Amino acid sequence: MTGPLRVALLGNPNTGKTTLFNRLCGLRHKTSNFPGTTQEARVGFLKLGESGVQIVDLPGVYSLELQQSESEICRRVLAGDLAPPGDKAAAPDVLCVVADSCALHRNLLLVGEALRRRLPVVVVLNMADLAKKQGLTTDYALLRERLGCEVIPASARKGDGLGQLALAMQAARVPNVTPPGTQDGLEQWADEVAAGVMRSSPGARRGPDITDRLDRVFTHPVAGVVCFAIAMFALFWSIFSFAKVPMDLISGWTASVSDLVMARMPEGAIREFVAHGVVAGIGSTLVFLPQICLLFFLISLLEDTGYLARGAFVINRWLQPFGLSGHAFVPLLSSHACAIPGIMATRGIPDRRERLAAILVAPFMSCSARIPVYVLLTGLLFPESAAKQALAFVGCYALGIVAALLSAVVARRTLLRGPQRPMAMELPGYKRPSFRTAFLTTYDRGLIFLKNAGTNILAICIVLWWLQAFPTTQPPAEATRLREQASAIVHAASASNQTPDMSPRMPGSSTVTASPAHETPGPLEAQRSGVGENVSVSDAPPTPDDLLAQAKKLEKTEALRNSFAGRIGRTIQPVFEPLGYDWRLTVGVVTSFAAREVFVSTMAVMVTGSEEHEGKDVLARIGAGTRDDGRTLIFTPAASWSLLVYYVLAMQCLPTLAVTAREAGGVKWAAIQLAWMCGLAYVGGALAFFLAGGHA
Amino acid sequence: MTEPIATRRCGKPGCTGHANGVPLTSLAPGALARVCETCLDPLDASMLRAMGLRPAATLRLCRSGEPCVVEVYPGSAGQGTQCERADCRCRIGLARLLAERVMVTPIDEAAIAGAGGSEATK
Ligand SMILES: Nc1nc2c(ncn2[C@@H]2O[C@H](COP(=O)(O)OP(=O)(O)OP(=O)(O)O)[C@@H](O)[C@H]2O)c(=O)[nH]1
Ligand SMILES: [Mg+2]
Repeated sequence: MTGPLRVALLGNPNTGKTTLFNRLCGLRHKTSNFPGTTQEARVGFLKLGESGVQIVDLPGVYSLELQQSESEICRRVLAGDLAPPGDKAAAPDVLCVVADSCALHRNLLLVGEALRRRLPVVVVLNMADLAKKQGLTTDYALLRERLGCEVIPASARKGDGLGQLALAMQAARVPNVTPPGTQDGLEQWADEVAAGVMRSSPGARRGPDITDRLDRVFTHPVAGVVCFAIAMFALFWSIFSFAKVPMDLISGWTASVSDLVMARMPEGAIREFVAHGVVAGIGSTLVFLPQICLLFFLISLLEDTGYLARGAFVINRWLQPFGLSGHAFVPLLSSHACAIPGIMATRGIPDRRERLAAILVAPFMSCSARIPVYVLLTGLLFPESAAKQALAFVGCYALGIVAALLSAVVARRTLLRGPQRPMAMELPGYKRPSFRTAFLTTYDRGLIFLKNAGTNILAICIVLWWLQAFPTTQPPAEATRLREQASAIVHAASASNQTPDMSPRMPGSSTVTASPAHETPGPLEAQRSGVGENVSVSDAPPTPDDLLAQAKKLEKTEALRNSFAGRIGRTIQPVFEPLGYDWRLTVGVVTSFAAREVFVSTMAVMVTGSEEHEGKDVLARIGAGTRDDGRTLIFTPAASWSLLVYYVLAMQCLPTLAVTAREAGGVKWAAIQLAWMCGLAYVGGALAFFLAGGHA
Repeated sequence: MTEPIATRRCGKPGCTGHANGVPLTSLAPGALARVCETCLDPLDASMLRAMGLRPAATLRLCRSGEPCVVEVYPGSAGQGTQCERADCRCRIGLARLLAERVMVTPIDEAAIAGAGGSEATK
């Protein structure tokens, strides 16, 4: 045979196809105890024999014949006219049907459909460990005979039976049994086969009491809502409280690395670049790794318990007035980690209009990329009170959800008008969540985040650093005058043989030493107001190093204003004037269109590139940055509120727009999403700025 | 089955009554029943059928209300092909709107008690 053997994994939802796929290929795709986790055909590779085996993981389907996007994908992959991303289209050589040993009768319907395809088939009876625990035994020899193909018991979670399966895949042949083609005939056939091969050891019955009781509580109109609220609260509360310690650690490390660079490297552009471009940029992104990891870890655990399917029914009632159903719940919940898997998960929504509405509003959910911006801004707004920070944080999440729901109503009343389909969903059994799965998911998502920080975000930081450092311009006349004035005083002092009034801080070394005046706008800061203003107004004559520091600050500000970044920012800034952003924030907002988390690192580069705040952690440095007048903070409270609202609502993620266009079936939908979200964000931001007293 | 047809209406707007069965929602929790027919849109019907809720399927109502939770047993009860074990079946949550359009006939538990389906007495 030329090329690898192509095997497609087909099966009912939630039978463990992805778990098996990950085991076989050593990959880690997302799995969970929720029907409809996989929504896309994915390819993996298993090293076996000479040419290896290529495995395609398909979305779970109850039947290949349904009018449903998952069935459609499976049909097309099996027919060979749809290729998983990164692969050529060709029909699979072997069909591997994954069935749940504990619900064989139902799974056999799909097995029957697969047998009728006249492709070599292997049937995997997965969850053999669970079946054993529950006292179910299967007569494999009889089942092989009845199906006319190889049947392998396996446990994907434990890794049992995989070697046998790999061999069976290579030896698979076209089954010599053809089940009936009609639905009735097929059902009867499946019943007969299942009844013939399944045995349960007497007395091993696990009563349905516990599942029944839990279901009654979790879907109860009152108790169910309370449980739901507790689960969601616990989820988000743990994310933010457990992440605190590692975040502080990382933040501290970044500060020390930056200080180390400043202390050890020779002065010059390279040192500035390393300390302000690289360390500040990456450090400000790394700080958020703990929260993002926790988010993925906890959502994975929660999904694996089997609770979410019940939660979906509880929330169904609440979503209905907004034109959505419980089917939209898991897509919207996972959008809190990232909108892209969220939008992918909308494929599980059977109604097309509802699905489109869910795609359109999913990015309103506060994804993990917004966390950095929220942390920065809530920290700046309420530096003293952790409780108020938390409240503002919750407010952001709530604002996103409310905006999503209201937008869904608007969409369902205008573009996507139509009846609502009532909800039906399989309720998976309750399970002890797999920590292994959760750790692996977290590890992968963390790695993706780090890779992004090490590549895209780093690249943006470098470009930005360059844009704000060049071109170098002539120092302003005012600064030159101040320098002359300072040297005149020094000369006069040495001429009259007096000790010049030199503070311990040498003016020339001011790039290394922290200048407290920049940290808290004190009287000195106020004195230095305005670029062109005359600065010496106090009674005491200014000391030379004061004059030099003023000159330096003027030069820096002027250089930044005239840099490429400054010019670009100032050109666009009028657009964001009503929201209270200066040109630096404008640059931050504009670069965020590539990815939101870039905002914090952009601000880190822009602020620390122009001012010295060594010895403080990076977020505090950003917060202390001042605007061109050298006095007003960049992040005034009103501007911070406005930014917060803007970031909750704005669509600032190119990859999400691409996925929207693909999933909704047209660039039109991505354009609507972009226009609607950014329009809302702009209006909301301006309103917040106004309400917070920005125009007072 | 002596009730008049008119009282055997499903939840479908304008339903004039069914010859067989009662709506699933009219059962008490814990009751066993067999599906007679479903009165659903073709899309919903084919979906539920693929999930196992098909004519002649045996089911147990675990919770009624919004949502209804049913447990579908394999095979048809009392016909010798059943697999009446606690773990050989699947659980489906149904919006009330769907559940009231599924017509079922209650099953006399005693008839299948010998086959091991007695947990319905809970
Ligand atoms: N006990 C046990 N659990 C398993 C086994 N295989 C998978 N699971 C669990 O079953 C659940 C579903 O696994 P997935 O791999 O996501 O199932 P899937 O078939 O890909 O599901 P969809 O993508 O939704 O169609 C997860 O909670 C797994 O941990 C197994 O062999 N034994
Ligand atoms: Mg899967």
